[in-house]
Amino acid sequence: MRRALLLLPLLLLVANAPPERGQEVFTRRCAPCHGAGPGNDGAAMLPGTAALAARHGKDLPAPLEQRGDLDEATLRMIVRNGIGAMPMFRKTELGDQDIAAIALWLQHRNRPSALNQEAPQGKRARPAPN
Amino acid sequence: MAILPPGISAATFATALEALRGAVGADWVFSSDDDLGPYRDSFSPVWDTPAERRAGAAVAPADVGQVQAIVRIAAQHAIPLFPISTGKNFGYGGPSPNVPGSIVVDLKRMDRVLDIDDRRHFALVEPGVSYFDLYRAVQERHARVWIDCPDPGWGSPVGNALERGVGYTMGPFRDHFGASCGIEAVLPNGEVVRTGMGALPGSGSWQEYRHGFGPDPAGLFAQGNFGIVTKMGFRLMPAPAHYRTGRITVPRRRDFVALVDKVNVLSDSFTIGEAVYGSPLAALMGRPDFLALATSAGGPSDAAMDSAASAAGLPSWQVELQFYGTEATTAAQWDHARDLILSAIPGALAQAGEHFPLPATEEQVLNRSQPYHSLIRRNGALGIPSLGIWKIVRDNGHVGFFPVLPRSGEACFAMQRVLGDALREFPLPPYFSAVTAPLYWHTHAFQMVFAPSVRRDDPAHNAMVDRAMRKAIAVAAEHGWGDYRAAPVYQDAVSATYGFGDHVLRRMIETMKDSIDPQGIIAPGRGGIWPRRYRQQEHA
Repeated sequence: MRRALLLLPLLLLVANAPPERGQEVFTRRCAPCHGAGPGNDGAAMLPGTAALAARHGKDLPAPLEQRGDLDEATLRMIVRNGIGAMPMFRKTELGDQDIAAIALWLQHRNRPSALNQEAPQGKRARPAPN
Repeated sequence: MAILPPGISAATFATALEALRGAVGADWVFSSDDDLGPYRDSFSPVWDTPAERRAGAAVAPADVGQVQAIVRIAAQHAIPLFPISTGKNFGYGGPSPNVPGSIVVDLKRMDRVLDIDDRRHFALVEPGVSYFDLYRAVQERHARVWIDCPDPGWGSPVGNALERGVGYTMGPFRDHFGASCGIEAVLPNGEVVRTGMGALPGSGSWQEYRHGFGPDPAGLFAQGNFGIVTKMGFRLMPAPAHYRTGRITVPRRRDFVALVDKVNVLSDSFTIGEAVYGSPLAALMGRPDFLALATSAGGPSDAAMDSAASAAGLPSWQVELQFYGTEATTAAQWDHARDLILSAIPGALAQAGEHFPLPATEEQVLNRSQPYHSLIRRNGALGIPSLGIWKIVRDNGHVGFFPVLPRSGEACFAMQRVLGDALREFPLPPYFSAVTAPLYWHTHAFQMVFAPSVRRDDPAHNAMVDRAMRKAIAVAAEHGWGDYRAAPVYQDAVSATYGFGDHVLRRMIETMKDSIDPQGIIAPGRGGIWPRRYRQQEHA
């Protein structure tokens, strides 16, 4: 209960932040492994996307950006504990606020009204200036 | 429950943590089990065993002043520290320390790119800067320089160089520590030292002349424990205008000797970038008969391998060459390289590969258009950081043994045979066989790789991998081959193999360590160097 109360200001702060912040964090921190588009040197997918494709098959979209089912708690659990070949990430790399922002963006991006719009082309996640 | 360093009471540790909170802010001192979970080595071969090295706490400073404060607090309480940069040293311990209970000094918050100069071609960075960050900064500033990055790209130029990691472009830049120029570090007494021209106040040459005057201690910080590096300079390659590739194949197994000799000439005269060796016969390893031949005890005969190659219609070896320059210069260099090799090896064939002006298009970066099966990692070859290499990670990661061997075909054949035989008893894929090619990442040396996977849910497998690693280290050393880098659990074993003169090198460095770090607070055990107070203990 106490932990939930402590997290409440954080959630409020993130909830009021524009979803684009989550996209920015996702692009920098997650997309190089979990983005859509081809992998290196002829690989069909980036490694994280390939791992999720192997894990979920056709049950769930492989590119993380197409997942609207991942809430902040689930993301934080995976980020902090790792899974399979994915290592853990420290707070200095990806803070709780960053994870919450990503969750908010994923939910915003994959909300039913957004899904009716044209999907992105699945461009390669190249390092970008911003 | 808190893991305490040896000889430190819970009360002392708690007092130190409170002082650290005062120095950096409570938000940046991590001591709960949840917060320390990500400081474990996710690739640990001893995961969840008593041998696992786990942090007692972590602290994340924002600047050099806070690093100094941390060091002084640690010295006051004799608590070991373990600095990490971006903490991505997977296969080599990751963010976890040598000594259980150490306080990890997480430098990720110190993430400024302090300078990029594209007239004199250098950069100066803090340890928390990743290769992604530096690449982005180069792009933002439209600087006409390239970085040389390893795989994966989330590592730190500072951290990777201090591990003596390597990359993929031109020789002088592939050696990341060799390409460094100028270090700033916090010493165990809390003072800040600068090496090279940085020791001369007002010098503008800190990132151009690394030696300064007198003995150069820069090497003590690489795989060492003489301070916490807070800034590091790097030489950068001027951005080339054109990139060109080509492949040379040779028909017979023994042709590899002459091939390596000629490629050495090209590399040492700065004509080529990373030469990527491979054996087309590796494609036959899925056939039981060829697998048995290539992994036969004592190694197969040249005649048997040549017969197999002939029957398959495949050359025995290939090397891919890479050129950086202008369209005209790279074309001339390729012509020269091709002529040099083909004139020396009967039956050698050359095939021009892709070439294009730089910067590369997205399609060219994807490396899908070579007219032959290419082993080049295109992102690395173009100095573009990525995480694509993670596709090779199996299970919960791997450990790494990358023995250094002479840059000759004969040495390659010997390592194939010796380590192939030595590891035969272990139920692992054949890392060393008659088709194992050398890696040519370091500027003047070859390496081969032994990187078995680890599984957190299979302690028996991990124990087997551990035995295999220790046997590989020992057998390699018997033949003059040593590892270039090791995880904390293997650093003592590797250090022990560098035992010339009854381990005089280690004893010399221990003497310096005891003088500069009398309390042994900076990364005790790193590089196999233990401070006096730990040396009485056994370190296996």
